[in-house]
Amino acid sequence: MMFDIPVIALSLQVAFVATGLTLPVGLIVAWLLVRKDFRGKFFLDIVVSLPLALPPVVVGYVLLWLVGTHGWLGQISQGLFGSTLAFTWFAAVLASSVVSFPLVVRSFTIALAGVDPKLEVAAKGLGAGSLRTFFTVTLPLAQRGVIAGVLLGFVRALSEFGATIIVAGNIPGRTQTVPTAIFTRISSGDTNSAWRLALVSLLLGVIALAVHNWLLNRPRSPNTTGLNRLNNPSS
Amino acid sequence: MVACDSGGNSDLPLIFVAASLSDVVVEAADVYEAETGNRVEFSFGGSIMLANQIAELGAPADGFIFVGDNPVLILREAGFYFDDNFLLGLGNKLVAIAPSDQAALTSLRELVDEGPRLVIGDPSMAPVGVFTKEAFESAALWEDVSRDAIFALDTRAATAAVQSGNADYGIVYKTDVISSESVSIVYEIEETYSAIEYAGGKIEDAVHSEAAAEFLSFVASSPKTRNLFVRVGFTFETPVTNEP
Repeated sequence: MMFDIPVIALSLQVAFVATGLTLPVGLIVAWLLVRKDFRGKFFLDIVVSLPLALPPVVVGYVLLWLVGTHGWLGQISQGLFGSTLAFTWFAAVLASSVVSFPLVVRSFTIALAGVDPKLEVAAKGLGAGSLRTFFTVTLPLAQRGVIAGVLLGFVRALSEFGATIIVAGNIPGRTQTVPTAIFTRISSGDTNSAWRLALVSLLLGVIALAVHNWLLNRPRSPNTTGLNRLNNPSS
Repeated sequence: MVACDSGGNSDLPLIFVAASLSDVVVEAADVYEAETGNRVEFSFGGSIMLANQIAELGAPADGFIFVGDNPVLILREAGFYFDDNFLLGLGNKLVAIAPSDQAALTSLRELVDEGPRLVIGDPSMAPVGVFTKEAFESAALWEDVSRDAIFALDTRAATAAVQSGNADYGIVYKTDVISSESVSIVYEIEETYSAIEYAGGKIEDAVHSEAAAEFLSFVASSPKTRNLFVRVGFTFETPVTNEP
């Protein structure tokens, strides 16, 4: 049991940091996709969704090619820190981020598309800038979908295996996450401890999906949205 | 960031170790820590796969213990290893294993003729597969085996496949059987394969290569750690040194 704690802790750490990266970037990309028309939008949409359509091992290989000894990101970090990012816990963060990104963006896109653009126009008409409009009108109205997307991205990050094992390896205490630890334990015939971690994964997955579904299905409470404040500026 | 404490604990030397040594080297590290206060970390796997991770992919190893010639050649050719082999004399043997209730075999041919599910190490990643290939080649059976056998990532994965009943027979190192209760040796393979010898060394220019070398030299010289290896079935001869 004691052996499991560092593995679970590292997995959570990787998933939290990955979620911290995909949340802001995902919001920007989703907003561009929903609200803006620009050249290359078609391709941005494809690039963003691509990790869904690729074997994760290919995502891992591409990342390794970027951050490894011969990759340009790898050479930059070699110059700055004296080592590449490959086979570090941050490589696991990159893998989890890229693989979970399409799910996050898709949830965000649906959430933002559900916000009536007229309300944004109204907010701007009342003198709010673009950023202020986004944070006081758009985001509060889309918050449930956004939180649901964050949760979905978090569970996907937590369960990442294929890309992770390629770019971060499977080094106990350094880069070994719950899925890669399960792989090692299965491969080495360590059945009981493999099942134990599998149950931990199951539990985390059920909790995250339960919260995700609850957020999407519960009735909307009007008091917490910017819409309400917009309608009743005095409140 | 909180992150740095639990995750990238890269202050310790990281040693890439052949899968066949995974239990014993952890015990050796405990002895090392008790006697010197120093700690090391490990990454386990098929030696060829691990050597490629170091040589081609930039994996941050400070030292290694690999088996067979190929992994060491991979490191040498890429300029990662020129130094001494600390573990001269550490060796192993190849055996056929089956679940404990199986009868002993009399030849390698029996593993092929009756069409049982045979699991072997993948020769492209695990040296155990290279030795296995040599043994079957010298018996002129490799074509059949390479067509029908299940390839496992490393010797431990092959052992686990037999242990779980998903394969009827496996070709693994003798020392894997000692660490597993539910399988037993059904055939000791004639030594038509190259000598199974381990090599331990430090990685050139790695941050903690000297610390890795200290650990390896401790493992090679401490009677306690040598006993650990011998106890689980490794051969460990005192190397003949030419030094005065």
